[in-house]
Amino acid sequence: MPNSRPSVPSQAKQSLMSLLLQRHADAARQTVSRIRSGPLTASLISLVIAVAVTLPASLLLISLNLQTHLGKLNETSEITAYFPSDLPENRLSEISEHLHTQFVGIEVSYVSTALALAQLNEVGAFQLILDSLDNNPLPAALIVRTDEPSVATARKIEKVLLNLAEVELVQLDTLWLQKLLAWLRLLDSLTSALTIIVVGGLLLIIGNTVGSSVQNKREEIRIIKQFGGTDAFVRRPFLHFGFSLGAAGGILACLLTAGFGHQLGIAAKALALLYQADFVVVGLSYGQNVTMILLSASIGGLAAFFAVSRKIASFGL
Amino acid sequence: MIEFENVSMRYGPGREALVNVSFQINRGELVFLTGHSGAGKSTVLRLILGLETCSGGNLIVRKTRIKDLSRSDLALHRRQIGVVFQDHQLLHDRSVGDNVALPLEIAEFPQREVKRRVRAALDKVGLLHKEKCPPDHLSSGEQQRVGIARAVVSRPHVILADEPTGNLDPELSANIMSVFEQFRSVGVSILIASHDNFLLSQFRHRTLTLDHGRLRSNA
Repeated sequence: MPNSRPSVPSQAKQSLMSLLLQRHADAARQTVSRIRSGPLTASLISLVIAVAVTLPASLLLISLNLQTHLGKLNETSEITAYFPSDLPENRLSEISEHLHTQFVGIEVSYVSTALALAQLNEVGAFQLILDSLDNNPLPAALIVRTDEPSVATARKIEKVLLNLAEVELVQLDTLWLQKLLAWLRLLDSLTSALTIIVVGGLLLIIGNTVGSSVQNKREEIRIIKQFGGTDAFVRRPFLHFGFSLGAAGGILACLLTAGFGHQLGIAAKALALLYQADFVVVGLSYGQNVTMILLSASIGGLAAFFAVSRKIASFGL
Repeated sequence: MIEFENVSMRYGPGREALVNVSFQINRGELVFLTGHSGAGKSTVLRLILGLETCSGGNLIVRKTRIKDLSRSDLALHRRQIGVVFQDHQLLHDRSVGDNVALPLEIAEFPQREVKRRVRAALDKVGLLHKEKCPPDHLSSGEQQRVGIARAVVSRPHVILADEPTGNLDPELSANIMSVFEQFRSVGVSILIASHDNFLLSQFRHRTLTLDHGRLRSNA
């Protein structure tokens, strides 16, 4: 009665670790020789991968920095209460003290009508209008800042201020922040969408490169199959090749993103100076860089896997 | 070791490469396969190797029915067979030594063992001094001997050879036949497809003669 399967050659039995090492050392050796035989192609493909990966990585860098900076802004709530311009200053001091007794960790600053006018005068566009006025139309204001990020606290302060008979208007100034956060979420969505497009593009680029490489080795693959090479044996050096292309592209992308972050830092610093603010662009962390390289390499490996499998099937071996 | 039971091979309507072929090759037997061009010799070799599946009948190699094998088992089956191709089929971007090492690398032999066996196989065919050479620097006869070294290096249970002495002079042919004889004497089954009348008359072994896909004689 015939057996269902042939026996495994006993000569091939060796420790699993040394077998794995030997397999991958052989595949790595073949990858090195493949890159050596076409260094320009491999370099160009790595550069294309790097540029593609740098796009979402740069958006991520912008998004992370904005989130960090807006996070700081979000930690302080600002409530502005406007009072009639003729309200005596000592009444405003009383209100300020009242707020201090009710809430801990708040900062109340008084903006007199004169000070408000002076601030508005600094804005050149309003100067002509203000000069044409007979008297100062601006109200006096109390600006309350709280260190607590809680919106509830801000709402409580707003309620206390609204209960004051003298108050004309109370503004809880978080709307602009909410709008900015909405833009930031849009930026995150764009980053995610771009990442998906880039991953798709990389799968095609690396798949096509590895596919051409497999096509060039068709004769060799045919001979290997005739001597009992499995699909995995045929695939292994190409997987290493795809993985190496991806990893090289990932490393280059890290460098490009760092360069972009540096340039962005210079521009942002100049812009922040105009606003008398301090804005330092923080680059991607060590972990994020390693993740980027590993992701890029994995995409390379995955693209190679599909490309080789498809080619082997098309060869009909 | 190898058993053909009414094996037929049809490539399409009216294109029958083999018709009800039955024969057996025992362990440690050397058999010649002869016949005119297109008689079906290559088909027999390709069926044994599992490169094609027969349209009818049963083909059993080492108690294994070839058409029942999965893709991965087929790979294991091929590792037990050494093949010599008429057109050598060497990899020209690798050295002679690396070409001979190929079946051992596929079977994942340890590197030290690979080096030892490659040198032994090349020594058997008289080409040890060419180990580092690219195949292109060798004559056709030498390339044929590299192909033979590659076929025997993994000490297979079965050796299939398609015109192994086609490019060799009588002295080298005799030399190669003595290599096959050594393997036969230790239990390897060998099937040699050949037109070479000198070879067939010089070495007395059972000869299977194919004619238009039919087995005409088995003597």
